[in-house]
Parts: sequence; C-alpha cells; structure tokens
Amino acid sequence: MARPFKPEVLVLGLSLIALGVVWLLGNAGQLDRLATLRAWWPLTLVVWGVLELVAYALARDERRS
Amino acid sequence: MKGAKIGLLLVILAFGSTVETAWRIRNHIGPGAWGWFTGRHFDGPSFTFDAQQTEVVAASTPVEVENAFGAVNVSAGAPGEVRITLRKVVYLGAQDKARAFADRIQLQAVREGGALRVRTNRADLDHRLTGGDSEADFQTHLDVLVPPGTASFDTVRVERVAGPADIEARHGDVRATGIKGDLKLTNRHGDVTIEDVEGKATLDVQHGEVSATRVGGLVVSGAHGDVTADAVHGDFDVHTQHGAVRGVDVTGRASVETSFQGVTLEKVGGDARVHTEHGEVSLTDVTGAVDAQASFDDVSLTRIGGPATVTVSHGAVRARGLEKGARVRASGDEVVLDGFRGPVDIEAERAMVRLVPTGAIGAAVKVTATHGAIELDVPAGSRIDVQASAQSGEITTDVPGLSATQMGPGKLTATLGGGGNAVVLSTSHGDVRLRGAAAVAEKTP
Repeated sequence: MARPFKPEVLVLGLSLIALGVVWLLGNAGQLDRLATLRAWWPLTLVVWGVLELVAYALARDERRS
Repeated sequence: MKGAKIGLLLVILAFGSTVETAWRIRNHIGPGAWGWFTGRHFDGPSFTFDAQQTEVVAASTPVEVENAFGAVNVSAGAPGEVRITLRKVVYLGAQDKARAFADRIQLQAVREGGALRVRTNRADLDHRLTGGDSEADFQTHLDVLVPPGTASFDTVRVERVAGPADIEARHGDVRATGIKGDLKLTNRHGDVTIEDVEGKATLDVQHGEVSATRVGGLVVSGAHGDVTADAVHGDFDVHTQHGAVRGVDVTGRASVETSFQGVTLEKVGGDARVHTEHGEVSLTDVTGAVDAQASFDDVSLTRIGGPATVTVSHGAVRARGLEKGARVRASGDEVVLDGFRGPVDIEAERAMVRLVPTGAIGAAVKVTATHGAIELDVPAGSRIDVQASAQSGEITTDVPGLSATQMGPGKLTATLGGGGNAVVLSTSHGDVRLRGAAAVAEKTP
C-alpha cells in the first residue's frame, strides 16, 4: 500500500529549499534577504493550501476506487 | 487536524511574524544588529581616512575609473596630471582598528593598453564579493581630477556605487551601472549608457546618444543625440534638440521637448507633455493627460486615459481610445479620432475631420474646419442637439431618428434622442456628413 500524500512534508521541504536559496543569494549580494522573505513568505500558506486540496482530492479518488 | 500540521502552521506564522517585525524595525528604527540578517551594510560607527595620488600623464591619455560601493567624481584639473583623492570610510567600532584596516585599502592607478585605469584593491579585501565574510564594511569614494582640454576618455566606466555619482567626461563613452544614489553626469562627444540607478539621474549630454535602463527618474538635457529610456521609476524629463526620444514604461509623468526628430512614449503612468518641431509624436498607453505639439509631421495617440490636447501644423492627428476627450488644433492633414469618449473640440485647417465615438455621444462635440469635410458617426442611444453648417458644401445625414427642426442650404438644426449634448459642426469648402448606426455598421462590421 502506497504511503499517503502528506502536504506538510512537502511544504516543509520546499520552504527549506526556498529559505536556503534566499540566504545563498543574500550572501552573494544578489538580493535583500529581508525584503525578499517579507514579500514572499505568505506564499508558503498558499502553496500549503493548494497541496491540502490536492491531497484531499487524491484521498477521495482513492476511497472511490 | 494533526499535531504535525498545527505545529508546522505555528512555525510558519511565527516565521512570518518575525520577518514582518524585522521589516518594521528596519524601516522605522534602522537595521543595527539586523544587518547580518537583512544583508544591508554600511551601518554603525565609521571612520574616514583620505589618500591622495598624482599621476603624470601625456596629453590625450584615456582615463578609466572603476569603483564599487562609493561615489565617483571625475572633473577637470591641472594640465599634464591626474590627481586622485581616495576617501575611505571604514565601518568598525574602534578607530585604531579602522585605521589599520584603512591602511590596507590601496589606490591603484595602472597603465593598461595606453589608458590610465584608476581603481582600488577592494576585490582583495571585500570577501563578500566572492561569497565570504569581510572583516569590515567600507566605502571608497574617488575624486579624480583630469587634465582639462587635453584629457579625453575612451570610456569612463562606473559600477556599483553605494552613494551618489558625479561624472564629467568628454570625447568618449560613459557607462554607469549599479548606482545606489543619484547620478549626475555630463558628457560631450560620446554616448552615455546608464543602468540600475536607484536615485534620480540627471544627464547633460551633447553629441552623443543616451540609453537609460531601470532608473529612479531621469532628466536629460542636451543636443544632437537620441535618448532611449526603459523602465523609469519616476519622472521622465527630456529637453534636447536634433535627437529622437523614446521612453517606455515610465511610472511618473513624462515631459519631452526636441526638434527635427520624433518622440515615442509607451506606458506612461502620469501625464505626458511632448513638444517637437519637424518630428512625429507617438503616445501609447498614457494614464494621465496628454499635451502634444508637433509640426511638419503626424501625431498618433493610442489609449489615452486623460484629456488630450493636441496642436499640430502641417501634420495629421490620428487617435484611438481617447477616454476623456480631446482638444485639437491641426492644419494640413486629416484629423481622425477613432474611438473616443468625452468632449471633443477640434479646429482644423485644410484638413478632413473624421470622428467615431466609442459609444453613444455623451458630451459636447465641436468641430470647426476650413477646406475640409467633417464626418461624424452617431451611434444609437446618442442624445444630441445638432447644429451643422457647410459653406460651399452640402450636409447629408442617414441617422435614424434625427429630427430636423430647421433646414436650409448648407445648414441643419436637428435633435436626436431628446437632445442634451451640443454637436456643432461647421466647415467651409467642405461637406458635413452624419452617419447613423446602420451606416457605421456597414462600413465597420
């Protein structure tokens, strides 16, 4: 049986990747870390919400089948 | 909801709250200890140290200046020498440490390829440039005095200046990029290219072309060179002669004056005022009002959000999408307003006038023409009082429902839809034609 899709794991992973990329570019002097994080952090909630809906749809399809 | 989800949600919200708090602190109190996090530098106590160096140069030796994180000022000095003053600003808490660090900042004036290159050894000290940490933040400000008259530049190149930059040059191109403050630049007989100037750029350029990209406001005065600007985050102000002007994506107002060349503006966030002699004017997507003057060429307007005022002699006026009407004074060629709302007032000499409203006529329309015909489309739903006269011409109408109250040779008084908006059409040596919705649909399906 396949493991259930857990959006929070994906959100955590993507968030860590994004945070690392922002930090890396900040160290390289390519962007303002704070301004970037301040502008984009709510996207985390949006992405999580979308993934929750996807997970719900997948679970529903699985139940039907 | 599972505990993991709640925990992650709390972590995200806490992170967001921290970022928002840091943002407010930075904007209202100052970065201080947040500098390591925000990426902002040059904060806290600092000490300033000066160094001078003089280089003897032959006449006409090209001079090139490179600097990062500091202002650059190049101006005329004594003959036969280049005098350089380096002001070092070191951000460290103790003066002795700052002095020791400043001693390591060296001015470099080297001859390469026949040119004198002026720069510092920042690359050896500022490890942030290569991704590491620096021992201290520092700025390097350069004042370079070059021989007057005898000096010429192949290229003056200024990059990544933390503060304002002031550049004077002659007989060569100038390139300035990454200026955090205002830029003041004077050049003769050379092209100027500027990019990523966060402050306002004020350029005085003659006998050279200007190209500006991503600037925080642009003022150009000069002559004999084209001006091209893209992404101006502020006002766009150009006074030149014998040069074409093109501005795209201007967030503020645009004011352009030139001659013998055309002016093209696209995506202007504020008002646009353009005046050119012997050149065409093309304005597209202007949010505010338009004031355009031209001669011996055409004026073209597309999607204008505010009222338009156009004066053109010996040229045509062609407009589409005027949202708040127009006042036009034209001679010598046709006046065509294809799609307009709001009041229209046109005086035309030796010109045909053709008007096509966007919808039902809802404001006054006044046209006075000499030696030219007048055509007005009257969409269904218009409520107008018509007064038309055509000396040495005839008046024709096929507008359904138009009720004539007075009719004679070359004169017509009529009402449509109960009236309300004055439509006064007067021409000499031309015809007047009122076209109804059916006729309009027939011609423009």
